[in-house]
Order: sequence, then structure tokens, then C-alpha cells
Amino acid sequence: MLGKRLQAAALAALTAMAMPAFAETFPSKPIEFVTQSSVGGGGDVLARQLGEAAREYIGQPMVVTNKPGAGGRNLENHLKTAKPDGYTLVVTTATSVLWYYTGSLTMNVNSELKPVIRLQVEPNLVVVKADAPWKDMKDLIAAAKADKVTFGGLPIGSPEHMFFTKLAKENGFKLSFIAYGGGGEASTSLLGNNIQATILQNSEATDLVRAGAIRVLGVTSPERLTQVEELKDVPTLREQGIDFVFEHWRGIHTLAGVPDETVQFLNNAFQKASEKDSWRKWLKDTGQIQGNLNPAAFKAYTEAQDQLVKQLSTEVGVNKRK
Amino acid sequence: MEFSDALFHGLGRALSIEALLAVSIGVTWGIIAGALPGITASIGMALILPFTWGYGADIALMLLAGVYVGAEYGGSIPAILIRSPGEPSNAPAALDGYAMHARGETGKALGYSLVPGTIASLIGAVAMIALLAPLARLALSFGPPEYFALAIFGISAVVGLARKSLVKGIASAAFGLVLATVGPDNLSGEDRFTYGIPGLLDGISTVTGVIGLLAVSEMFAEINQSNEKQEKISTKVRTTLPSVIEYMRTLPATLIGTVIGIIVGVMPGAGATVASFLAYTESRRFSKDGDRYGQGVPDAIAAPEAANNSAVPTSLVPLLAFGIPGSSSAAIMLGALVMHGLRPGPQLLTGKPEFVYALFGGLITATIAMYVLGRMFIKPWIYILNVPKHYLITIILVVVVVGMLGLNLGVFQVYVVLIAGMVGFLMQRYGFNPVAAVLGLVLGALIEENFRRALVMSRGSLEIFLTRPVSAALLLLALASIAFPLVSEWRKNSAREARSKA
Repeated sequence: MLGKRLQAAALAALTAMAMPAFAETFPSKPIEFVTQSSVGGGGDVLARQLGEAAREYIGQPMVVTNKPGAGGRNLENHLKTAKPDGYTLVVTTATSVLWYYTGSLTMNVNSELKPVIRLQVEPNLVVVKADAPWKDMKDLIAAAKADKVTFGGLPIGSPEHMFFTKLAKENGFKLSFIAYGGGGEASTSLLGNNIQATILQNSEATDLVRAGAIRVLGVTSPERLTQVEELKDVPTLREQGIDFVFEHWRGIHTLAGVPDETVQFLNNAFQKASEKDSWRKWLKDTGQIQGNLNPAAFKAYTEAQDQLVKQLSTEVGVNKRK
Repeated sequence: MEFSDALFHGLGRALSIEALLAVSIGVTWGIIAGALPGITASIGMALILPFTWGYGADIALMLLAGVYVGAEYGGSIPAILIRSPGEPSNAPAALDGYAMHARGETGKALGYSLVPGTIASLIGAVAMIALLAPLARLALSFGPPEYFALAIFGISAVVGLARKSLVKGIASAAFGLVLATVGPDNLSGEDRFTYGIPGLLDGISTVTGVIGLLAVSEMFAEINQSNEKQEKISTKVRTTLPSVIEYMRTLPATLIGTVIGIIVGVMPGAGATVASFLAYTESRRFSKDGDRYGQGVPDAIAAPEAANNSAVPTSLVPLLAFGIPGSSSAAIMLGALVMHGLRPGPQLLTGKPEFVYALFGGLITATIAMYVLGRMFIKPWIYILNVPKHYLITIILVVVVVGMLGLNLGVFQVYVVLIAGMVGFLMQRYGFNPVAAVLGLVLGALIEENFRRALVMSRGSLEIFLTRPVSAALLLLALASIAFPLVSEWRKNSAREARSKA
């Protein structure tokens, strides 16, 4: 048993030495996914699913390191100690861009990380309780002008806070906004009629829509959500004359300075993994939408996001980077 | 769903060999994790979650349910034996549990945690599934004004906790309230009292505060005691368990605790810790031994330990009813479900109810496993913790440090917990009340955030707290719980004065 294992190890070592080309020897050890999520959080689960699905294409196990807390600083500090060799990957999300401007992140995704693949998008939905009298954004704005709506969502600087602030400013009503922490407090508060409108991500909302508990007044994606049966008829905000587009997304970055061929290798492996039926089924069952982008397109996308967040946060007065 | 169906299906699934094995492993790990200060139920669940990867979703759920159930009992073991609660929710049990242990009635103290906890856990599991809809409505009916009133009601307990010196008790609670303001202010987006230290960006967590102020401070006190000549506590430790009649006597307190746990457990943002403190103070009103709370009475252990156990199943209600995780432990359950391609919520309940049944069955078998394992290990625990103090203190401090690193918040939390330990030690030494400080820390954010949220709702009018019936009732109760001890104290004093004059 041991002898066999030693033989195998020796063989592996020999092959490794015999192959000079980098692309063929990468990866020769386990790859680490770093995520800001705690175990069981969105980014964590994505990394574990991806690690499982891509294992056969990578040929190495992938381990997840959770670095939650301190507004992303713990994650940053962990990345500072990592080498740009492609063995350290980061699960990035819309907040990775957002928190640079409105939170406590000091790392800029576009200048300090290198995109590998975007995997998933989650458009935001403007929702009200199902028994509320408002059928579209126009109704909601009119009610807000009559001071009948208390808005709620994640704290100051979150997409929903910025959106509702912008909406209030453009339509001339006084915003009453209640900030909640995570853990679905805002959804509970909406269902309990303590707030009248909030923004939810698609995966959080789908089930409540199906159960007839909430109504979606608008989606924040550029186009209608034709992929989701329950939401395909909901108009976008743009269609309703509101200039606001914001998607939540998740993807994989690595450190700036990782060779292009390594990035390409990883992108290929993850691309193949995300074409698997099991991956697609998992996304669908949990209410997420596939949103693959290759490194070049992903780069352009996060740069556009950066501009969008910068402009929006300045406009509503929550930009900490001025 | 028919309750009998649920029971049948759930237990059927939970009685398979692999399910029983998963639950037993979960409970064993849960008791250990719970007993280690610094490793909370949710951290224990997070640590074991990756190992469930290869198994079915129902097995994963049952394993996690086992950890969750076991941890609530496990946390009471160090609370009783070394006055260091293993979980924040076991802090009240440390008061009377340790006093009872100091009298040498260690076995009884542990029994008064285990049996009421078991009863409460079973009732809680049944309530979770049989009363899912009403409990879910209850969770929704609690808005910011109600949370504020509940937290005020909770903090009014300080008056009861600090009988010796009310001023110092209130000062201690105020100190806890100040600690609760550290960190990001969600409502304005500003950081408060963080002084640019990244480690303070999340504020001072309940776990860090409780472990520091109560557990670490106790270790420091022990170290200090070995240098000072002090009256020794009983070294003769008896492992005798309470008799059936003695258990029966704690039944009212157990049931009060159970009901409080069921109700408060449902509410996202409150949970087991708030429930167990409320159970401690509320059961006191009804207990025959109410006057002797703090000196080691059975009711004072039974009520909070029942509350934190019955809060376990009901804290999963928002998750099952709406897909909203109401506590960090429920969030890990949500993670487990998503990992297995399931999304909890109304659809899970109607579309795939077998998972909800399995969870219910898992909770039941986990509770039974908790009782059996707990009962088996009462004596070994006592012997383990009877090792010479200098070994025990060293081991506990190491475990605390490792646990704090396990929180994933970096080495800074270790400093915080040690400083909090020092502060707690000094507080105790000079007659202040670390438990009141913990109460302030636990309830501070609830009070402040919900006060401000309620005022946004009412556009600035304070009337909202009185026009909403639940909030008004809770505030009245709070007022009464502050006034009664003061009035009765004042009466006693004036009677004494009258006598001394006569």
C-alpha cells in the first residue's frame, strides 16, 4: 500500500520534472478558493459546488477558505500573503466592487485582481407585499409622494439604499428608509408590513413570489428575466422610465500578475464545469441565473460596474473615496 | 400538513441506521463544541458542514440538528462546573448552577440542566411542526417597536439581577450598552468607536463579550484565588442526580422557560440568549424560591436551560416558513440546503415536505440522544473537570483562544476576549455585575436599532410604542418589573426602620 503510494508520488514528481512547460504542470497542488462568505453563505456554497464540478478538469482538489468579517478586510489581508501563482482564487461578487466605494474595502477589484470567469447573475427585484395596492413603479412612487411607503433593506451604501435614495431625489419625495442587517430581517419586515417596499435578489424572492406572498414591481436587469417563469412578464425599471440597472453577480478572480495561460486554463476548466447538467440544475433549483463571461468580457463588465457604482454612490452622497 | 403524518414520516426517516449515526455524531460533537467556550453552536455547525457534502440533504440536516441541539446542553456544563458559559445562552445557568456546584451538589445542577432541556427540546420540536403557521405569523407580527419593547423588557431584568447594589448593577448594564455601540452603525453607515482598527469594524460580538466577561474573567479570578487565602468551596463533589420528585418541582419553571424559548426563539434577531435571560427573570416571579435566585436553586437552572433548548427548533420556523434564516445557526442550515440544491421556504414545505419531516424527526432523535449521552457523561464530566485547577485553567484559556481564532475574525478577537476577561475580573472584584454588562451587550443593538427603526416608521412620533398593543404591553411589563422590586425593597426598609425606631 505504502510502497504503491510512494511509487506513484515518485512517478508524479518525475513527470513534473520532465515537463518544463508551465501550462502542463499547473496545477500541481490543491487550489484555494477564498471567500468572504461564512460556511454555508452564498459565495461559500458556490465555491464548493464549483470545486466539485471542476475537479475532473483541474485534476487537483479545491479547498475553500472562509474569510468573513471586518468589512472584507480579513479577506484582503489573506490575499496580501498569497503569491500570484494561480493557486489562490477569490470568489468575487457585486459587493467586491461596491464596498470599495461605500464600505471598508481598500482593494480595488479592477486594479488588484485578474478576472477568471463570471458564473452567475442575480438581478435585483423591487418588491412589495402581495396585498399591497401598487401594481407598478408609478403607483409606488405616487404612494411614496403621499408618504405612505417606508422603504427598507441592507444598510446605507447598499444597492437598495442607493436606488431608493436616487428614486426619492428624482421624484421629489422624502425617503423613509429603514436599514436592516443581513439574515433576511428586511424580508420578514416586509411580510409583517413594517416596511412596504424593499429589494430582494432573485434567489431570495422566487419562492415567495410562487407562494403568492410578494409582488415584483420591476427588475433591475437590462432586459426582462425570460429565464424565470414567474418573472418573465415583469417589466424592467428602464421600461418604466427609471434609469437604474444593477445586477448582483458572482465570479472567480485571481491575483493580478498570474500568467495569462494559467488564467486561460482555469477559465476552460470552470467553463466546462458550468456546462455540466448538474451545475445548471443546481443553479435552477436554487433560483440563480447562469451568467458566464470569459476573462475579457468579465473585465469589461467589472470596469463598467466600477464606473456605475462610483457615479451612483457620488450622486447619493455615500462615496467614501472622493 | 397533518401532524401525525409528519411524525410518522419524520421519525421513520430519522430511525434509519445512517440517520441515527449522523444524529449521534452530531449530538456528541454538539455537546463538545457547546462545552468549549468560544465554539458556539453555529461555529460547531459550520465546522462540520463540509463533511456532510457527500451525503443526502436529509442526513446533512439531521446531523446539523444534532449539533444544534447538543450544543445548547453542552454549554451548560462549563457554566455549572467552572462558571464559564460555553454558549452565550448558557450565561444565566452559570449563576445558580455554579452556586449549586459550589455546595457540592454538582450532579443535581447538571441534572436540572439536562432534564428540563430535554423536555423543552421535545416540546419545541413538536411546536415547530404543529404550530408552524401561527408561529410564523407571530414572527411577522414583531416589528421594530415590538423588538424594542421586548429588549427593554429584557434589560429591566437588571433590577432583579443586581439585588446587592442596584447602582452598580445599572452601571454595569450601561457599560454593556456602550460596548454594543462599537462598530458600524447600520442606520447611518458610519463606523463608531472603531478608531481605524479593522478588528473593530464588526463591533464586539456577543460571543466574544460573553466569553470574555464571564468565562475568561472567571479563569483570572481562579488564578488570583490561588494567591489569596479565601474560604474554600466544597471539594466534595457529589454526583447524585435529582430525584423524580425534585424534577417534578421544577416542572412549572421548566414550562415557563419552554414557552418563552418557543416564542422568543421564533424571532429573527432575538433568539436563544435573549430567551434564556428572560426565562431566568420571568420564572423568578413565579418560583417559590424566587427570593433565593442566585444562591443555587433548581428553578433558576431549569427555566433558562429549558428556554435555550426550546428556542432551537423554533428558531428554524422563519427558515421553513419563508426561507428566511432567523439566526446564524439557521443560516448554516440554509447553506446546507442550498449546497444540496434545495431552497427552503413555502415551496419546500408543500413541494418536498419530506425534508421538513426529516428535520423534525432529526430534532426528536437528537433530543433523545442528547439525554442519553448527557446522562452517560455526567459523571465523567465531573471527573474531567475535577483535574487540578492549574491544568484546567490552562486548558480552558487555550480553548478560548483557539475558539476565537475559529470565529475567523482574526487574532484581534483574542485580544478583545482577554481584555474583556480582565475587565470582567475587575468588575466582579469591585462589586459590579458582569452578567448585567452581558445583558446590556446582548440587548444594546436590539434596543438602539429598533428604537430608531420604529421612529422612521412613525415619522418621528414616539406614540408608535404605545399604540401598538404588543409593544405597549411589553413596555408596561418592563415598568412593572422595575417598579416591583424597588417598591418591595423600599417597603421592607421602611418596615425595618419603623421597627428599629419602635
